[in-house]
Amino acid sequence: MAEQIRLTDIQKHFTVYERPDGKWALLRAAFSRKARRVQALDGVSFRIGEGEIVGCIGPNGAGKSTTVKVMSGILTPDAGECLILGRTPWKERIAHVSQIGVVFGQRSQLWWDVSVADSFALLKDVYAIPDGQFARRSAELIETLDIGGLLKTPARQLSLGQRMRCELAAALLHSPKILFLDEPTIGLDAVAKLTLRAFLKEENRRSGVTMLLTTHDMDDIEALCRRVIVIGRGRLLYDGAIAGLRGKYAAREGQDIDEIIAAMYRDMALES
Amino acid sequence: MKSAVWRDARVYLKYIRMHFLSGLEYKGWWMMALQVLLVCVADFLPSFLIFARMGDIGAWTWERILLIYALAVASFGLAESFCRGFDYFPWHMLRSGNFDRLLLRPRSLAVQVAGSFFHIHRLARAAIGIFAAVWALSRLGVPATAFSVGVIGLALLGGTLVYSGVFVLCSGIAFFTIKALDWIYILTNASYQVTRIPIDYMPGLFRRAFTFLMPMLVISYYPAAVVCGWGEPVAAGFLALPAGAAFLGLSLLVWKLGVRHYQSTGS
Amino acid sequence: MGKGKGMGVAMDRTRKFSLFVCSARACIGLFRIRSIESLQYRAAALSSGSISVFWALIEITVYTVFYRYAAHREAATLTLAQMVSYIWLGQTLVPLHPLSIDDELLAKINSGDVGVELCRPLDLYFHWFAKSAAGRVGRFWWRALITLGIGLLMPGPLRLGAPVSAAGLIMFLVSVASTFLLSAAYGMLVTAVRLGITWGDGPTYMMMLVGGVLSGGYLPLPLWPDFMQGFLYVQPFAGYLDLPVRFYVGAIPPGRAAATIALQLGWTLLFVCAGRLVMRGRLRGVIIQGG
Repeated sequence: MAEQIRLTDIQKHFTVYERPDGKWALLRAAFSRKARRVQALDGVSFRIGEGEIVGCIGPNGAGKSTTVKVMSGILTPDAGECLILGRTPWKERIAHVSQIGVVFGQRSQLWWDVSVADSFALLKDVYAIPDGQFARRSAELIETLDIGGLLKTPARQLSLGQRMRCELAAALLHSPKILFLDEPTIGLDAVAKLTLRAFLKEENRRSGVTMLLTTHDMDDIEALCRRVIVIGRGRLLYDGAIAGLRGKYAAREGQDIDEIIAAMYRDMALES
Repeated sequence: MKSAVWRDARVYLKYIRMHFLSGLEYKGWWMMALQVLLVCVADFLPSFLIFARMGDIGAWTWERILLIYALAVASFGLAESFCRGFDYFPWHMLRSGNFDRLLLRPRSLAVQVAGSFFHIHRLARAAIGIFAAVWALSRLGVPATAFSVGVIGLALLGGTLVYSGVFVLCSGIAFFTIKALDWIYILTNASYQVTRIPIDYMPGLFRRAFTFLMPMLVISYYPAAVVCGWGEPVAAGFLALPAGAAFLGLSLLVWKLGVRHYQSTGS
Repeated sequence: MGKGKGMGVAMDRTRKFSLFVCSARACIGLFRIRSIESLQYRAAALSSGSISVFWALIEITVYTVFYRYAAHREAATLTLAQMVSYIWLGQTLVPLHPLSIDDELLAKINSGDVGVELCRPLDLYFHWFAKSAAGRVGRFWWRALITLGIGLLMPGPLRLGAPVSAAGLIMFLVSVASTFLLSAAYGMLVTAVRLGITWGDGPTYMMMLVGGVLSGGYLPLPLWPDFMQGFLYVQPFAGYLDLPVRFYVGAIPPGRAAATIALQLGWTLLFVCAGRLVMRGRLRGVIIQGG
């Protein structure tokens, strides 16, 4: 199994400005501002091989999104090494992003006012996909995602479930080798979630695309990932099979995966 | 390398075409165009009325002032049409977080931003500017020779680059501060108000600032002066394009700094 | 029965009064927040103040050139010193008037959240009226102060002069106060018109623009053609800035002071009535549409 993603000791901090609180807080804020340093990633390292599906979990604000942003090239870390398909994302942005796909559950990459088909046509030019390949690939995605009936509709008129299917097609049109999914099932109903998971699994089996998904939905992880990464307080807390997490906590917490995770987050809070 | 530039251009044109077509579906566009037209007329009304009341200032008739003003307005309108994405960038892309998406696409960021918006009604400003310039030229008795058409064409081209540069500059600064951006209005809608002052009476500060800092007079007054023969050296009429390119180039540097800042702070 | 009715009226009155108090409190809160925001972003206030100053300097230069060198210098109506004061005060007042619909209200109109507002036990018209006015003044008084201050500190011929007399200054202040009511009332009328339009801001922008042009903010009204002067005096938008400024520079005879203020208030009343009327009609439409 060839290695595709390698993060070594990634560090990233942010500066947040705090407003004073207490009496006259707003007015005092007008004349003073306190800067505070927040360590978002504090030495994160992991490797992911070709064709893996890895789930990334962690409480809100733990550093999951920051990790995804570093890997997709949106954010430059302070220190550490990140190699994806042999490239450093923020140094070779264009070459890097041609090889990856990113789906944000909360944000659309389709053009709001134009039909889905027109959005696909624009993406063809953006990614410079050759005609033949585009025809083949889009036909394939339209069929497996069952979005043939939605192509003439502007994105703003789609339901969330319909839109998510179109988003997936849009992210995979250029046949990326790696797909990042940031909370892809957020807000979806049960049927849409099942469809999406089935598709991801099938796509991974068929074209061998590597997937890394962040989520709060443990069912996503159980359905898709054999391996799970837990990030908390900017550190990598666990990396391994989901069964391992079970082994560690099940005796105390029972079998329910949500309770196991909750127990884990509690432990993390105790550590510090 | 060459093919990347070509692909960028292709993507830009596709974007503009898409916005144009979906813009036409929007019922209110002609009303918005009318509104822009009215704004342009209102902008120039004060000059017209005061010339009507108080008469010319020596050789400075209102046709002369109109010509200079119209060249600047037309350039502004063209830039506003074809670089609308940068004009909108701080508020409609940076704030909403949609800029992340552009970073994930394998095309030049500047091209993607420039093509991210296009509003048909903004062409009204360019149209009225060009129309007013042509009308003023005919009133001033300037024949449509290859020379005059060439100088005016280059002025518009350079002017479009200058005002595009202002939008790019504004977007670049927006990466660092979005609250204190209002002053950029001095370089956009307020800048061409300076052309209402006859050049002989223009305070040196204005004249130098709008020649050397932002070459607004280089794309309006000097081409007009050369075409009409107001005693400026002929070469000055041809500076619009290089000045515009230089201004845009410097603005793009600021933009690049801004992008780098964004990627390291993520905000 | 009569007694019961009387009690009902009394209750209605207390209810109305408590609603008014709620609205007033909301306005004061909003004014405070906006003020502090604008204080907090001092760079932003200075930045927007610089626009007013820049604009004023251009205008002053243009009029100075005309007053000194134009062919018909004798056709000038105000003196140059009066004109300079006119421009500074104009630039001070202009940002305080609505030039577009309040952002917050527009967002509500566009997203259809107006329906939610309707469910609140408030007089929507006065609630919005006060909120948009408080928000705007809160946001811009800093900028106005900066413009005014810089105008007063300018060297000789560029300086904002002293008021013509103590009486002139008092009339100016009274007139400015009624100016706020007037422009807020017109702003509400435009907002009410916007309520029924689903396809854009074109018409409302034009309504605002007409107000701006006829206020004297583009060209001082005394410099408009002579045959228009009668019309310009009685039309509502002179009340935005032309009339108060004329009091300041002494271009309105004291005998006409009362009539002028009455004119401003009369237009205000008319705009309020028209705004309420249009709004009532539009909101009925919203309810029917919303189902």
